[in-house]
Amino acid sequence: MLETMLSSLTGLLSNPQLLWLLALGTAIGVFLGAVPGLGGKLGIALLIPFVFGMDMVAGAVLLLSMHAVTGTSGQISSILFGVPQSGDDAATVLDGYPMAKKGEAGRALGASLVASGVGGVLGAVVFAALIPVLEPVVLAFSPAEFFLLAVLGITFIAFLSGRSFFKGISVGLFGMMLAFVGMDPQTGTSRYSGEFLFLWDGMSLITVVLAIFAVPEMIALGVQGGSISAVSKSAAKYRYRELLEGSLDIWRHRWLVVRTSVIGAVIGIIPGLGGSAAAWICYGHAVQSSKTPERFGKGAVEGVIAPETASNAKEGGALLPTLFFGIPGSSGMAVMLGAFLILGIQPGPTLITSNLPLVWTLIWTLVVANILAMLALLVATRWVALLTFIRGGLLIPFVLVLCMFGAFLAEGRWENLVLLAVLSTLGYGFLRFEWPRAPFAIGVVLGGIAEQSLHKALALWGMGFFLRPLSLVLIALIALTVGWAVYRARRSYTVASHAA
Amino acid sequence: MLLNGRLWFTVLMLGIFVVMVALAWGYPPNARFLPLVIGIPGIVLALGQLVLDARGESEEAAEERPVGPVLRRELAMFGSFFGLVAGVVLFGFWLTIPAFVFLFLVLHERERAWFALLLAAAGTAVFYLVFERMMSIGVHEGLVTRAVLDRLAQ
Repeated sequence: MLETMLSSLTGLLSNPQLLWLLALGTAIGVFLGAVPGLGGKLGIALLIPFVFGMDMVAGAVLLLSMHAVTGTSGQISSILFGVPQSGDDAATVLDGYPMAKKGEAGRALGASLVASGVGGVLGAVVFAALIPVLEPVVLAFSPAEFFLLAVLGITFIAFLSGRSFFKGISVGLFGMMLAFVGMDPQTGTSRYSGEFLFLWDGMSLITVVLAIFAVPEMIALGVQGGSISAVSKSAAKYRYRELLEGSLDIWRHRWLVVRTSVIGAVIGIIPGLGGSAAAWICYGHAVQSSKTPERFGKGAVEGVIAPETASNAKEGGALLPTLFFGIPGSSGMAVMLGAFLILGIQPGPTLITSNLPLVWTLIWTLVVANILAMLALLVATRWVALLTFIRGGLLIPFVLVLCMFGAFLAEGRWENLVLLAVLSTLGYGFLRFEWPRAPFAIGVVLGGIAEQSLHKALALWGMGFFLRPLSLVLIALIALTVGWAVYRARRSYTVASHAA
Repeated sequence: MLLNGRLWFTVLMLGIFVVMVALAWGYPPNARFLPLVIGIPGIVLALGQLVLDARGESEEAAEERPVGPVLRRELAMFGSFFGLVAGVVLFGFWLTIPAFVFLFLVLHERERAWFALLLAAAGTAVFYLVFERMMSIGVHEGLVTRAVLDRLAQ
């Protein structure tokens, strides 16, 4: 095993063609990740004609390196302009954008880029470590566990609500209600979508996220005037030293990085939970495990680190079931699976015995592509961070246009532009009247998963699904999370009363 | 009693929950199960927030009421954004982007016309090169533009 592992690494690094393809894939991935609504799935679809007929290793290296780093560049606009590129990036907006407003864009970018790189590498490590025990881990998860994992994620809303408990929970529930828009998976009934065909598949997540997070921030910037950074350019921190400072935050919060990488990779392994779930569950975990949760949402660096680590770590995890069971761990991996088949890679458990060098080459591709993207962006973003000091009025029209492209390109439907306008009005209301927006995103992301899994679990086991061993463990975790939230709320209330 | 914006927004959220729950009653049992399980607590919580807002109305109203200039800027921003959406839906991306950027910079930001024109042209060129040329992604042409082109083609 060790010999194969090392020979695959030297094979990758000593082959100029593979290195060139890896660099090219990384560059394309960084570009696609930076534009809202594009991302890895579209990239794979666009590249399939080019890899057709290519050697299987070379084609897989190009596609995987491209797909692995799309999440790394998405955080740049999330932090600088509050414009998330996907559902995962919306979690980064919550603390990344407030850091940029405080003039700490450099530190936030340093932390998020290194977190992405480290997360991607740790995700690959988790992938490698789990190869021997993969089968029982994947098979242990059924719809019952998916449902309880989604509920666990939803319970984090209690932590993200801060002092606005009623508002936070209401917004979270509202997000879940929006997740029910579309055809009911059980009965085929059209819910809340009337005769609007574009809503029958549910609301486009990228449109919802842009409407709730990005557009309201731009409107608020236009209303208040000035630049994104509230701090003057001379007083703000955007030099390489601040990027280094952000990078060092990864070391300061190393255990959070390790935990969120493992959680992200494990969520990536579980088919059906989706990539955004990893980022949001890990954001909730960062809030829950912090001694000062009140800093979150106002520019806490841990709020940037946790979702970015998880977001990139999940790619390593998602590759596992894709390669060894032919079960894609995410929608991106579903497209990747098709591309692998075109290249002649036959996914299945025999891949471990028949083509272990290919498996290790793919693991190393994940590692090298993540490191490459991290280093390249660390060098480049110092200059990009200067954009936060440009007068907002000059940026607003371009950012709004970019949001329009994102909403349209997500599904290629113009109706999503109207949806963007309607939901942006509501999103501005959330921002203006201080209704927390993080619970909304969690509700939207996990609501649909919870419903589909619940129906499947009930159909398979009836109410008995609560008594499955792993279900009991998850129920205990949910109870502990809720108990901890109540305890902390009571404690902070008591401290506040004594202080008064 | 003059209600402040905060209270109105809570009323709006309550209204949304009530409408969604009312609609859910009309669905088959399996389809309405979770919307009701989620929506009814949503109504209760929004009502709770409404009570909290109403109690705090007197203090908050003082800071909320001098809204004239802010409200005007908000309406101007929303007007610009809705104009952009309507423009793209009706006339497509490539006609609307330069017009929107130019008008926004001149009318909202009081920039000089030549500078606004330069930024509008440069921005549109970058978007066009990236989406149409480099990636060959066909973007929305606009409902009116499409109809006109179809008519001309006949």
